[in-house]
Amino acid sequence: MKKRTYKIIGFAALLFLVSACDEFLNVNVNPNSTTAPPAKTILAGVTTEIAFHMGSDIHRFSSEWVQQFTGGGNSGTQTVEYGHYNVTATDLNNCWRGGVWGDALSDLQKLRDLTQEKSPRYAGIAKICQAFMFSIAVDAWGDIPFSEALQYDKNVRPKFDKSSDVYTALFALIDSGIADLSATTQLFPTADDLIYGGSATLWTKFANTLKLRMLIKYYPTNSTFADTQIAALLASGGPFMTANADQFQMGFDVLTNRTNAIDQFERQRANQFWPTTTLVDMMNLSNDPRRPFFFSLAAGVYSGMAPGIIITNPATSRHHVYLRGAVSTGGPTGYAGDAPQRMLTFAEHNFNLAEYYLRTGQPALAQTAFTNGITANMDDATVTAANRNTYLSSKGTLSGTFATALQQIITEKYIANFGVAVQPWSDWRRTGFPVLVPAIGAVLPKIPRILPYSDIERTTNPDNTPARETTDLIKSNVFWDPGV
Amino acid sequence: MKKFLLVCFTFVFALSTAWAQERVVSGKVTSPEDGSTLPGVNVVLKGTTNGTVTDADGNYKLNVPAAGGTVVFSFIGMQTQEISIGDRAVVDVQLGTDIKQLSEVVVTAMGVPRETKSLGYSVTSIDNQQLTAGRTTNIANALTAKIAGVRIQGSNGMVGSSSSIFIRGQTTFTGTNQPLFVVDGIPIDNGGGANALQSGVSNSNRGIDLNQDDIETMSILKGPSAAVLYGSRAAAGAIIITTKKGAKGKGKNTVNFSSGVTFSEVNRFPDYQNVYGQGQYGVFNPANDVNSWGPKIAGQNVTNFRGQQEALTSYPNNVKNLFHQGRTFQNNVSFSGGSDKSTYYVSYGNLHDMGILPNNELTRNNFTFNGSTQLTDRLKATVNATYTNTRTARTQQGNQRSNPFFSNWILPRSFDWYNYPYVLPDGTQRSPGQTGLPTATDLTTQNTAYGPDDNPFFSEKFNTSNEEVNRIIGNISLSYDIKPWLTASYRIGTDSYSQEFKVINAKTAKGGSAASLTGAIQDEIFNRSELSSYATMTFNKRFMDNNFGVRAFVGNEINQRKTRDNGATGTDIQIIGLNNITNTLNFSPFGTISKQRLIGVFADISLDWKNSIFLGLTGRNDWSSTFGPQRRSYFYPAITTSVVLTELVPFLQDNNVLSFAKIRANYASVGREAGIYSTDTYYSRTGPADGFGPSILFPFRGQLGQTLNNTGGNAALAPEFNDNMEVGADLRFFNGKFTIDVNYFKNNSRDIIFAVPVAAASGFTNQQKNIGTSESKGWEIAIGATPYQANGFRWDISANWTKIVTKVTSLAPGVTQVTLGGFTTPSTRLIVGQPYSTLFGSVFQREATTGKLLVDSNGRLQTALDNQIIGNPNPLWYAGITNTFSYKGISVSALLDIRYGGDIYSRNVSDVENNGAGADTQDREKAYIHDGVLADGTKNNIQIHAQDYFKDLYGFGRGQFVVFDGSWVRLRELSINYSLPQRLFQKTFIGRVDVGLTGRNLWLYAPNTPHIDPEVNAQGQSNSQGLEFNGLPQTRTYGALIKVTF
Repeated sequence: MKKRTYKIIGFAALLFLVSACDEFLNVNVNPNSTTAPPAKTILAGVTTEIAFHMGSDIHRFSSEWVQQFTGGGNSGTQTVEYGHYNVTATDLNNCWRGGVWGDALSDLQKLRDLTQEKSPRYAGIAKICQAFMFSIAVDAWGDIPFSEALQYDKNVRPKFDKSSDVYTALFALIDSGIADLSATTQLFPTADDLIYGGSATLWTKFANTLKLRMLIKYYPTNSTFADTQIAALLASGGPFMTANADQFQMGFDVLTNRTNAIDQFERQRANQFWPTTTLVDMMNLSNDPRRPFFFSLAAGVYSGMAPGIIITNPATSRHHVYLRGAVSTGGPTGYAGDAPQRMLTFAEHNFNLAEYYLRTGQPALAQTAFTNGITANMDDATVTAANRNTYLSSKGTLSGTFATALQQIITEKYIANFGVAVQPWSDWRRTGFPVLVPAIGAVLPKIPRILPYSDIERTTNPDNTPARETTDLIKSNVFWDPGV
Repeated sequence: MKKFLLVCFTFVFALSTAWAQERVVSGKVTSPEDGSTLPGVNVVLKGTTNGTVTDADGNYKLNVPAAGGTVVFSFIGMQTQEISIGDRAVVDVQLGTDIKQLSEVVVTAMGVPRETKSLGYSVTSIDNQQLTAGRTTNIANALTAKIAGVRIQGSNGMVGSSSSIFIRGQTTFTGTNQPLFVVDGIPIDNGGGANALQSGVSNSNRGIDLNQDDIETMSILKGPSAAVLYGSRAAAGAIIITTKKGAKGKGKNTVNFSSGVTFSEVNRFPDYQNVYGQGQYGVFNPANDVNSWGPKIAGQNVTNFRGQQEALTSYPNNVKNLFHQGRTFQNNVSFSGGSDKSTYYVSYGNLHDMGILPNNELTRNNFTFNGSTQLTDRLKATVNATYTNTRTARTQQGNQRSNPFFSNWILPRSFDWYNYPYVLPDGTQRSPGQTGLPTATDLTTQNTAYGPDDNPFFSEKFNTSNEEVNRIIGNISLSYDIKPWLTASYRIGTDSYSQEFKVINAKTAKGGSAASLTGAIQDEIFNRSELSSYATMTFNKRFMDNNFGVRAFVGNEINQRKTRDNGATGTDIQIIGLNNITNTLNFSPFGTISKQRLIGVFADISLDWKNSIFLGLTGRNDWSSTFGPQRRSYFYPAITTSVVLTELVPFLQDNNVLSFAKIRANYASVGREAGIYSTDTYYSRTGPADGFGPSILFPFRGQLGQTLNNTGGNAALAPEFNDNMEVGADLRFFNGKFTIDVNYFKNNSRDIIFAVPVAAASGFTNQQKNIGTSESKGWEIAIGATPYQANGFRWDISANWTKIVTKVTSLAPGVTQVTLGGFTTPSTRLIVGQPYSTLFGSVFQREATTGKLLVDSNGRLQTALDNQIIGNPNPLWYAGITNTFSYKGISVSALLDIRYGGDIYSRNVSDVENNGAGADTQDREKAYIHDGVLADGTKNNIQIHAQDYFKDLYGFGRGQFVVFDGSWVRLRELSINYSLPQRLFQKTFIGRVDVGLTGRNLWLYAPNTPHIDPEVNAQGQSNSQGLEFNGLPQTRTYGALIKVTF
């Protein structure tokens, strides 16, 4: 009896110990993080990621290649090497893996998955933002994963889709996003929408405007498609952006590490990123009234740095209030830093219209759109009406052949898209405007027309990542790029 | 250990029977090794039972017959000596070690002392004298080059800098490869020594809190077989530290006092040119230019960065003068002793280490109490406790503009910081171009720095980084002898510390992550506490006429590790000089907590036959909280065996050449835990960044952001395993005059857990998986020799040699490499088929067929699109040789540290060359033509400027030619010790006085590395090895010490 009692007690104790052990060891739930955040925190986070990255690496690559900016410092400084077209696959790891996919597209997908069923307003915004980021990725890299992308651990080696197929799919994605915006929704964004404050109308305007931007890319390689599709899009009535207030841009704060990415780079890496002679001289030549907002004065004049030149001449204009917000003391740090990160402007929308009308033989409409484009950007830069009109009177009339008129539109678009990532580079690849000569010290004979793929992406998805040699960088790699 | 036995035997009384007392012979018995006296030695008149033992000072008196007679001196572990006394009245004797009798006793896993001959694995023990011979602040450095199979890798010369300890290479990928530290049976934390690349100071590994003077021995358990009892956490080996204890008995109480001072200075400076000044292409440029490619310095008048006229002058010592002599003061006092039942050891240690940079110092105070008492005949209680307070003040380092040596290592040869003020009256600094004004008008006397970096004096004074650690390491234990052969014991202990940080990035400082010019103040408190509990039962009995021994050890471990890290960063300092965080405009708080638990049960059975054949079987099962409930239990075994041939094989017994021979072999497998919280995928606070510095901190615009973590968790994670085999032999010749211990091991790691990089287009950039494999194998040889020993003079050699190759054998399907550390370029990577931490960086374009450098039409080199392997940071072999010469009370010991191979990527060398500061850039008149071919295949004949030539080869981001073979031979330690003759204090209360001189790193021969001492590692205590990035140079130290025993 006694023995048995001991046995029972022993067994009970053992059982208790085993279950207590399990209890004791169940401490692997991270108390510092959540696995299910509310949609609003994802939206606020992901739009910030998009606006940040659009002023970061991808802006530096594309704006240097299209010679709005050039690097400064010594040979070897990253921006100098970018300006010399010496961009290697490892340079793209942060941008591609961390920025485009790891931050923006991944969070957008989670937001979609989380809200599609009950709160499609969020899902719609997420889809439209995804379409924007995918279109940027196509324009910058050509073929990218799409149909098998963003399935997380279910497919860690998605295939790459043809750039043209991705574009086709994006139009459908945008349409689906627009439909979601007007569907019944449990939750809807307000202040957590840092771009449009929760306005479904503004998101719809952006969605349609984005479609037009994408369709314009089909010129000149597939003009027929562009003609019909744009005609249909315009006929649908949009709505499209109608004012600068509709721009796809995001504001920042006047606080350390909360200012826009272009401002932060200048603060932390002063003298590594300068406006070029290409842009500054172009604007000097036309006495452009936007210069006091785009550039700081250097010894009383506006002067740029020759693209690719190595020796930094501090007597060069820096980018100014238009990109960095109100000026206090000037220099690398003397700005508010809260200027919006512009990603698709009302001015650009007008220039897109102008190009469409020009290409479809509607010169009057083209002229109106052209004037509206310049005006929109002048207003955005806070140029006075008088100065704007002076400029319009000398530069605001489309004239000459189709080619010269197109050059006028794209050149004005190039100026207006100061600080907008990728787009001016795409326009140059599409139209050859503005006419650029390769940078001093360039390691390639021509200006690159594509970014390398991230080397880690290649090593992790070797069978699917398309080959891309140094020599490929100057070739046409996106379906809409006519090459040279 | 031998000494310990001697002391014990002091209190064993040998009975002596009366004898015809004709006369008395007396004398002293000493050790030939260090001249120390030997107490407790049996002194017996041969053929009689007449004998005595030596007293505590080694003296004896013995009654002997009037004439003749032979006296036998004997002691366990010593060679017995028979001396015919003739008619002498005084007979002094030296007793040497008898290798056949005494098998060294070492502390093994769980603090169990075992005879080395019974072990089926290799263990190395270091005693206090070896540890403290070449005084160093960091305990890890004290092991350098002393142990086969163990590599210590320092990070740089900053005060308190960490060192990595690699025992038998690396066995896991992204988890720690650092051994477990155990103090008096309780695991303690030796982490914290990793460095950020772009911010912060060179951190300390927390082992630095230990006072080396309190340590009796350190046992290094190298392989899984040795460490398996400690389980998962000792997969990279274990360092078992036993602190000093008092001695039981009626002996007198001992007071030890030691005091030392050492001085340190930069070990190696670059060879500078002093002919050309600041600027480029021969043109002087005073502002924003770190280049020395300017004009020839000839006293010509130039306008400096402050707009003033000055004569261009060369300053050959402008870099050297930025350092000052470091000083370290170390004082220790201890009291120890005991009674029949109790022992005690109380000590206080103080260390004050002032580094080679102004305002850099480390202060450490240690208070230790170790006590034990026999509560009853069977029950013993022990308490060990140490309280440590460590404070450091250091200057930021790394790839950032507040690092005073970010570009001052290549200070323009015509520039001297001492010529200009370093701070403006309002407490700020200023550089030309800071306000965007054109250069010509911006060269004002308001400028205190010529370029984009902080003035080094400004940074050293105002960018402060202070830490204070308060730490308690302690345990209490009870052990109860149930039977003479059965003991139960319980030990519970903790290692708890609180580490407070206060980091200031001054207003107008240009470095730091969040502080560009606006200034930042960070307050942080990091708490870590570890609690360990061990319940064990030891069975120890011999059977079959004592021929068969069984020792069984079973037990249970419960371990908990908790951390709490709370802090806040405030940016935009408002009142200069007021370093309270409320003096800032924007705050971002942070806080994390973590908790991790482990339960283990283990059993260790050792069997022996006649103390000559040994077999050990060990098993352990762990339950770790870092796995999901279904995966958290895992078992792993070890089997060890050893055979003492000299006792087993008849014809080997008692031969005069091979005194002792043992062979051993073992196999073990050890499971490793997963990293904490890797089983789920979490969201965390959004914070986009791009690697250039810009980033967004939430809350932002009144919102909180959440972003899905890029690394996907995995609920199915299971333990990773190291499977290890080892064979070895321990051979001792000529009574131990020559010993050799050879070991071969092979370790295979499988199911290695790491965040496998996956295509980011999946939505994850990484995924936690059990997937990698790696292999490390190697040879370890330890040699001891006593080439000469006579007339009180003795020469000992102790040498070790290690060759280890660690190879990544597989990562994940399709994944051929992962980044371990470093930058975009260069980085350290794990690449399949390559050694661990392979250096990966930019290479030059080459002509496809000949492999010659491809030169473009301007005569310039271009880097290739993709980075390539540029080096292997792992030494091919390394060795340490200690020569010790002793004569009477004097001993001289020198440790040569030899490393063959081991590449280092040097940013400092890159800077020295490409900015025209190096002596090798001095010859600028000659024609520079790259040795390569043009696009058409013809030999390049395009002459370029010297500046272009050097920038091409060594410019920023150009890795290929700034990777150097870091082989070295260095005089790692030199110590001279003199034990003052005892007779000097015979009448005083002083027992013993030692004085000594000590030095570290006194001589360096690194033939293949220019300009720097290659013993550097930018990421500190880390798996990422082989990068040097603007680190502080290593130091050499020398000093003196005195030890007094009362």
